[in-house]
Amino acid sequence: MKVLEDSGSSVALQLEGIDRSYANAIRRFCIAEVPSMAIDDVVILENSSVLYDEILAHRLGMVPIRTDLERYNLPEECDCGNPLGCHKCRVLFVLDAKGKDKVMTVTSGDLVSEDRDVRPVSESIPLIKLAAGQSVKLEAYARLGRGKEHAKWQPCTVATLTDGKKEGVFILTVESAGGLPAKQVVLKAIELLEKKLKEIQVAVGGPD
Amino acid sequence: MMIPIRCFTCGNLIGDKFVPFQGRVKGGEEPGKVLDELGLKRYCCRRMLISSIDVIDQVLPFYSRKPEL
Amino acid sequence: MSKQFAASNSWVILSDLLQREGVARQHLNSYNEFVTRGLQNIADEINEVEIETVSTPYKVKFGRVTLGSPRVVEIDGSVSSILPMESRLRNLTYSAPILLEMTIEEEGLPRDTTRQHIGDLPVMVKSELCQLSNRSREQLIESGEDPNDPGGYFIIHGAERVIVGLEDLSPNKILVDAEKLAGATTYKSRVYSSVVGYRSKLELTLKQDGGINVKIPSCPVDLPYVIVMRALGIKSDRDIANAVSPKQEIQDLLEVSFDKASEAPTEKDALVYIGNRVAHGMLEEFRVKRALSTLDWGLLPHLGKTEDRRFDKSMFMGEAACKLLELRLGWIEADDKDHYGNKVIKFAGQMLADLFRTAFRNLVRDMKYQLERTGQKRGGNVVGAAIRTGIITDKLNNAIATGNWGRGKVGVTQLLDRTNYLSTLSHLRRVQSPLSRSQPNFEARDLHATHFGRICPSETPEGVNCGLVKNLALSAIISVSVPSQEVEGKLWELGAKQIRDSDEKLQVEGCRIFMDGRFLGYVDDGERLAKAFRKLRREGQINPSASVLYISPVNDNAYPRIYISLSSGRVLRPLVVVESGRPLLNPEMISKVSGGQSAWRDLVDQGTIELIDANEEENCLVAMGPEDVTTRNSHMELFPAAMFGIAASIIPYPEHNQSPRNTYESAMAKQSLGFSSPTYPISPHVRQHLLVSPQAPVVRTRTLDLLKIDERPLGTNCVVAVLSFEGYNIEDAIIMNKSSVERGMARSFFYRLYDGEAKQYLGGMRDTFEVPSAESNIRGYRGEKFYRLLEGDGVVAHESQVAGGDVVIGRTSPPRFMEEYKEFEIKGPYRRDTSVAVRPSEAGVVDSIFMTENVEGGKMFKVRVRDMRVPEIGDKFASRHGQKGVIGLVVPQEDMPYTAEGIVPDVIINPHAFPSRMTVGQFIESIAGKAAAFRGSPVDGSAFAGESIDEMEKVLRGRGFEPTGREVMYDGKTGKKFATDVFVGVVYYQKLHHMVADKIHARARGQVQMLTKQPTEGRARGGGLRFGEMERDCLIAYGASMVLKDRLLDEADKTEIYVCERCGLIAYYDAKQRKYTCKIDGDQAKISTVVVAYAFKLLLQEMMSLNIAPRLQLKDKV
Repeated sequence: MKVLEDSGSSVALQLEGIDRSYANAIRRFCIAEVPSMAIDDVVILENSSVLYDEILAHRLGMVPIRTDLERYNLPEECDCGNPLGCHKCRVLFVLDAKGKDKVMTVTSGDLVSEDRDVRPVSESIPLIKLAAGQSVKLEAYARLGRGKEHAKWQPCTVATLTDGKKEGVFILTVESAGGLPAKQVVLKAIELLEKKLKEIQVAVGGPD
Repeated sequence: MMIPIRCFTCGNLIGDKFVPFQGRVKGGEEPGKVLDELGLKRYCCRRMLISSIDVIDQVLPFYSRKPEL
Repeated sequence: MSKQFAASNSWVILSDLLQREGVARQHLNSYNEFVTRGLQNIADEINEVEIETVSTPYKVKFGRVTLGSPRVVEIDGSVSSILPMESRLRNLTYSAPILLEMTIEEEGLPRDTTRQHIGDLPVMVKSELCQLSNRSREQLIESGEDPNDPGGYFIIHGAERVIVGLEDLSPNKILVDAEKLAGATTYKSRVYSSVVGYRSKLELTLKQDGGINVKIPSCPVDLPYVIVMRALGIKSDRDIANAVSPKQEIQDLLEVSFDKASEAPTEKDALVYIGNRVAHGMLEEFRVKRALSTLDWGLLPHLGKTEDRRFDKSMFMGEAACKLLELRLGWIEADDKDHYGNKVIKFAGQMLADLFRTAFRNLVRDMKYQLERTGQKRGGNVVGAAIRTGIITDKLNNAIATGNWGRGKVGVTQLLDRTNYLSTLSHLRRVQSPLSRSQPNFEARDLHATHFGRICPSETPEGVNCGLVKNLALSAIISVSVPSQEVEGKLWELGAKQIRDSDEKLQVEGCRIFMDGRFLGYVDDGERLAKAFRKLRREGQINPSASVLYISPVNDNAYPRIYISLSSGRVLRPLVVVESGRPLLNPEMISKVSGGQSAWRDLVDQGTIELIDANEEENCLVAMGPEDVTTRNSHMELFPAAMFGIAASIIPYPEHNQSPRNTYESAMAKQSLGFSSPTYPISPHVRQHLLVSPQAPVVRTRTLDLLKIDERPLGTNCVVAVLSFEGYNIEDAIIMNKSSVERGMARSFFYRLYDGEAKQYLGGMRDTFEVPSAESNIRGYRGEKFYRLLEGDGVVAHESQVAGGDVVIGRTSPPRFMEEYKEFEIKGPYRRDTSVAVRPSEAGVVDSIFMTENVEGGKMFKVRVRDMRVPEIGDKFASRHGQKGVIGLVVPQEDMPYTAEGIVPDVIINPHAFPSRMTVGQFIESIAGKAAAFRGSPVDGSAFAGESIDEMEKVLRGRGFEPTGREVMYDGKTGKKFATDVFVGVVYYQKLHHMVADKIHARARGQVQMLTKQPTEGRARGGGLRFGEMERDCLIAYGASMVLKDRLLDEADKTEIYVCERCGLIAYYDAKQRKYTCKIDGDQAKISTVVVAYAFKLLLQEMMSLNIAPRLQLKDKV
């Protein structure tokens, strides 16, 4: 194995000696299984803008959020057992904006997070435009989720497995969506793949 | 209504690049180059920026006239 | 000059033309003309009405017609001015009062002049009468109005209705035709003579025996030609023959006609002859009178209806016969009815004039009757009281609201299509042909060479209306009428001679001149005259709408003829004038227009650009572009792509597609979802769609600027791969990327408006908006849970989730039949529940609630429910090349194929979509779309003038891509490279408004029809799916008789009936006596139960009602 590129947002690995199916499984895990943070539940307290609640909620969901896999659990795996979640499986964001005399663009920077490390990857993502007098007030809950559930939880934008120059050599390229470093996405994918394989191993009755 | 936050095709964040892109193109820069500099190398993300339309801008003037409350 | 010059630059002129005039110019011009002149003319036609009272009769004279501004009269009598948006929201009619000056004249002396309100005229939005016509963009927004709305439609009871253009045969034209019937050829010469509000067809037939017969509508039988000519006052046979033609060959052919007229040798005899046929069995004096009035009124009324016009009529008849005989001799060719020069298009103004004329006559008749009944009293007030304004108002409103124009004309108006902005524009440029859709009319449906630049060659529906419903091309301009006096004066100056002043030589060798169906005279050199006429027109001395056609016949013996047309409704198109091989349009002029210093009209006034109708184009040789211009050319095309209409002009590279594909796309573009109007938050349309993230196409056409596609887009640019995918995209299905869908691609909203108004009933009862309560015994109470979302005022809460059956407007109405209940119900009558509920198969969120008052003063609620539609399996999509398909599978991103770069296509279409359909335009668009993304700027794909594919290939190569658009792809499931490269590119996809959510339907049990007890039909009523004859045949053939019985009886309308075995007729169960009864056999009856279909029981009873006794013979089941 050789690391061809590792820039944080993108990682490229040259793989040799493993089966294509195993390499592709890593690629697929990068897209669908590695968890990342995204806004999922939005409580709209007030919305007099022209964007409907549904659209606004969808837009919030699409905002890429810096993810800390160490400190947060997937809600279904969290030990709090609370359907509303706890500080270990959800992060609260608050948005309170009011249109002044001119048309105003509310951006991701206006989202106030309860956890300073969990915040949108960019401050300048336009969320909504407000005319004078219009206002939006909401609470948004971000949580970890998987790409197979919804595209907003995909930690990477592209994940490709291409043929290398020689037979049996593959190049795995993963580009991060911003929430996690690309390298971590791949590592987590491998970890999750291992875990799943282990589960199969256990299920078949092999050694733990 | 508004520029999508991510590229439909690959999921890359593009929403925050729309305003700079439009501003620089209006300023006379070559759009292809601006896109390159914004780091959008795939054609899927590039088409999002050059073709999306903030139709909300046409709706807002209807509300700007009468400040509510 | 290069191709680029023609294409990119002269487009500016056309763009200026369309920007300034707007796409609905033809409607607005026509309506404005009607308002400024038409109304006055109709009032002047009647001019006065005599009131015949016993003692002192008097007259009411009509003066000037004036119009107020659009307004509404509220229930309390207060009058307030209204704007279109208020009319739409409150279900009002956007109309203005018509005021007519009336003067009472007694014994020839004018007494009292008053202005009377005679009715309301619906106002065309953005016409001169409309309040919006001269508002700026900002002011329009302030009025709540879409600044890009083209206008050109009416608002009747809140509904937007368009009077679509009606194609008609040009009036007053002699058209000759040879009809082959059973081997024999008959020659006919036809004229549709029409004056305002009146039309009469004249037909001359050359019989097999060589005689000419004349057919006029007011005469039941055909008349010999020569007799009609004599009756018109031409005394000598020589003159009659010369009126036809002084040429010997023609006169020889007239011999039979003269022989046939031998029984009426004089004018008097001729009149008696005609009189015998139109007024048989009356006094001779009366018969002659009738004959004369038939000639004056029924024959060629467009030349006048008075005695002194008979000479003109005889000359015109001469010409009609002359053309007929010239055709017989093969000197000229038969006229082509489908030539667009022989067609005119009628718009709102003309249509309303027809309607207003009859309504106004009715009003005057009614007024006369009222005044005569009133008797002695007179004066302005009395006249005012005698006017029933409803006669005009109701007639106009009803006609526009229903499209019934009287005299069998239906479907004249249509509900304005607001699916997207483009469909609205296209609807306003639609033209309908009155020809029957049930007959083949093959020629009329065909595309004609003269349609070029006037009618879109692609945009027409498929099926019954194919070729009959057309759309104006972008370059089409509808003529407005030109005053004839000045043009006529110019003709005399140019050397034309009146018929009477023409000597014999001129009459033989000269050229005949016609102007709008009038035979004006002769000129020695017709070609010279036509040339001089055109010169004057280019110099601005003759109106640019006037057209001249010079016809030199195929045979030198026939007359050359000049036709000058000044009428309105002709389809003109702008062409660049070419003089001695050089187009007059130069780059400076173009840059001036693009810079805004001058307008296209200035170029017309300078004579650089000419407006040419289909007739005059016969005299032109038009070059397609600067590089094609030779000294033989008279004109050059302005912008060839303007030959397309609105819908077809959104197709990129259409010239690379098989033509029917462009037709299909023209139809589909009108169904695509987009952003139709910025007023969508308050638009009160019953159904409405909105695409959440619309995009402008990256491969565009220049005409898209005109359609404001950057403001009103109607699709999304998708990354499209041409690849098969596990069989889920066969038969035109498409595969969609689940992640793209989740990221918001092609997401749309569907809105439905529910409205309810409080009606007032006789006796002061009225509907009330309330939450119907279970305690107050309301008939039709639905159950508490259906009303749960209602608030105190009886209307749902904003933003609440509603599903099928939930009440959105709670309303109760007074009982229908008050007296009946009183007799036997102690508690008195119950109120009825007339709440408005969400449609059974729909759901959504309450989007907006409007509360207003209608004209009757009743409270009115409009509730709009929105539903988010995320693309799902079964939703219909289409590219701009007639390639439509439904989603066959939504695939998770990790399972989809990816390119080396990592791009996962949004859409995968099947390669089989291309070979037979030959939509090469889509391939080019795909490559161009990819190049456009790399380049960062859109690619111009205008028809005939688009950017070349070489350019795009260069861009792709520069980025390291194959110029063919093919890329290496890997299977997402296995990670294996595909054996072949895959064609991937960016294509503009439209989401069409056929979505599964609106179609999905199943039924287990449900409603049945009242009459037959069979399951209802249709999704809206929860109906069953018909198990039809063919399906039945299958079961019979298979022998599945139990299934057959199950479908057709048990699960349909199974009933038990009681039959008396003795008489075989239906018996019944008497519940009071608790026994089965047969009315016929009484005590002897033997009654059995029989299981039959309810429809069969119904049949028996219907037969019984016809005095037939259908007796059933029962036997025991073995």
